[in-house]
Amino acid sequence: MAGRDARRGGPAVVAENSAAENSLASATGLRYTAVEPFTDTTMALIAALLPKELDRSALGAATASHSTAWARNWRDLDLLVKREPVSAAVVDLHAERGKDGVLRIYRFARRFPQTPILVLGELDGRALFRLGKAGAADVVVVQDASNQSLVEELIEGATVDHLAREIDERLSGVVGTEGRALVQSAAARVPEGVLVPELAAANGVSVSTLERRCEQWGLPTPGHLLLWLRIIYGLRWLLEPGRSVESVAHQLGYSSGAAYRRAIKVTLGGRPTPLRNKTGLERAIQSFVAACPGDPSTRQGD
Amino acid sequence: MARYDRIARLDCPQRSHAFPAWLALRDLAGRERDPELNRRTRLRFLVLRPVHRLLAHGFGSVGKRSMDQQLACVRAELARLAHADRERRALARCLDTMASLSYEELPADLIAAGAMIEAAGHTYGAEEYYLTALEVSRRLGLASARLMAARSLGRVYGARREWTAARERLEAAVADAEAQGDPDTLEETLRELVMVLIEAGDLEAADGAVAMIGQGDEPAADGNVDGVRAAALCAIALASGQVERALESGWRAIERLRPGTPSHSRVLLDLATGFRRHGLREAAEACYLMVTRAHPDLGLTSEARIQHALVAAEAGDRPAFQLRREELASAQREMDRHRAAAMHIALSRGAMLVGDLDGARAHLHQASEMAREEGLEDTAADVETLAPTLEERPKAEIPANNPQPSDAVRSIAARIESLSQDLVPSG
Repeated sequence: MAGRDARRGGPAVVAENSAAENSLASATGLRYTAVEPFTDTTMALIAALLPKELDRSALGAATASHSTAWARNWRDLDLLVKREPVSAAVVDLHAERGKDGVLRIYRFARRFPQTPILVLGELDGRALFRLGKAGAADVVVVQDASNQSLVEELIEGATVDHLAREIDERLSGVVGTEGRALVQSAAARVPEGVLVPELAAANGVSVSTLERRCEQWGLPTPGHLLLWLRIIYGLRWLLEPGRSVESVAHQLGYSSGAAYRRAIKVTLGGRPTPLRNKTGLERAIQSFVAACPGDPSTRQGD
Repeated sequence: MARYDRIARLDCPQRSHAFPAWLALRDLAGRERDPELNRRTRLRFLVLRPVHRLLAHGFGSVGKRSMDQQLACVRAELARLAHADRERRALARCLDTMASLSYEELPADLIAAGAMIEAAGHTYGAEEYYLTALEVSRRLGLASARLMAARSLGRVYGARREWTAARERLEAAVADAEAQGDPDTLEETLRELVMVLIEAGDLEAADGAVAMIGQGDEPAADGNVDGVRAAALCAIALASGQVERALESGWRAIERLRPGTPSHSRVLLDLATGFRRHGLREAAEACYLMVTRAHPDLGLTSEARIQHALVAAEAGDRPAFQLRREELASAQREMDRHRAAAMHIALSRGAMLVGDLDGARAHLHQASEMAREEGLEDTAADVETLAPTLEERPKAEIPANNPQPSDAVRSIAARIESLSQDLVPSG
């Protein structure tokens, strides 16, 4: 598998775990490792299968604020999405000679229904018609590939975090604007396995200030906030048949699938463990909102 | 490449589940290898893409340079169509309007392009254009364009026999027309709604809609209002089995409506149905000929041609039926899939009536294939009904007619035949 672009800025730092997070680690088996800090809250990882250099540079120009992981072939693309927290995929329909690209896209869309796939290339009417049936999220006809603004818009549309918006909507009326902004900031970083010190740093405060503000804004402690978000995002990823519990657990920083299952059980409780269904995800979001003490002034305003 | 196309077997997605403007490509279903349709549907799709871009990001938010670049690419592709091509001109107008930033004109341009696509029998492409026009007019607060788009949608759903969707759109259009206080548009929209309600089998609601036609006008002040109301009454009476009353109302409508208009042609089709029920073949044929020769609307013309062939079969006139069947077969490419499927069902019935059982089976098979490919429930039900008849009762009975038409009916039939000679050159 080809590697990721090294466009993510900032030096690598070793994360310092907060006391709250360390206690959670022992309860949930969370594996704490150092990760690179983020420079942009909206950064998303895009998987791309674009054999032509021209297309690669066009995509590169349009996705400067995101990071890109390059796949060599269709199989590689599947593996990449399975193993990495990919937000969207961009592919050339004719990436592999002799293979029906539309059929590959159909299979991809079945395996990863939550991961939008954008298709680029020479697309005649029939190809466009079939792509719609196959589940492509959008298309870029070859004439538009050099239209940077247009491609940027399509990429932004594909990488919108609908789950983060859903959480934000549920929290409105419970938590104030500043608190919800913090949740959004944390949600944007969860796919990369963010830890409390990095979250604090990204928001320009110390860990202790972050903890104090969470209390003040009616949110769970930063450690618990991240735990809830890992559960919610993990359950969302697990709605995709192409992802395994092991791969999702790994992406979220857990030592094993079993550790992630335990974390879900400890946090949500009940049987059976609500994996791989929308009810489980819905229950997790509801439980998270219920676990937020809330900001009294916001509740009154509601 | 796979040896067989697995994608072709998949159901078409709903509009909300496909990428923007995809619906404009859906007319390709079952005709993916047709190069001309391939090219046209692609162009229709490409023209709509910048409109959807404006809808998604806001009319003032898309960069002018990027938009101009996108429009230039589409324009370059559009130039490959013949200069005299009417659809090309309609599509180019949409692009010009976007380039000049005069967005308030965009819904009307989209509706005009949609009407051209609809006239070619491509109902999904037309639907996408009308829906996009509706979205643009809503976004820009253009009430009159919104009404036009809703009416166009009602018409296109009606053509596909999607009565519930047609009714919803037309009811919304009626409410809009009332709010706008435009009596002419309200009458026309009500008439369209009445037709849909009749087809949907809700005669009570249709009666209610007819009662609304012309409300507030002076009695008989507007002959057209009276004509519209008479046309609606004709359709209702026909649907409820009161043939003589239908013919009387229909003739009254014919006298008041302008010849060559869709309303006039629809009444002629209803009259023809009434005449057939009385066994008055010549009068029915005269109605069909007037529609096929006087009206450019492909939907109405196709319907008239199909029924014209069937009426020959009902009379046991095998040579005339065969001739008309061949003419229809050559015109099939111009029809949308729904109408083509309906045509095969009708021709299967006709072939059965003249004793051509192989022909009947062939038509039924084609209808069945289209029903499967397109998910046409009405056609599938017709196939299921017709198939056992074909196998068990090879000599199907000619539908029973009323053998004793009244003097009034005979008089209307004679006047129609005379009108046909006035309007249509013989031959």
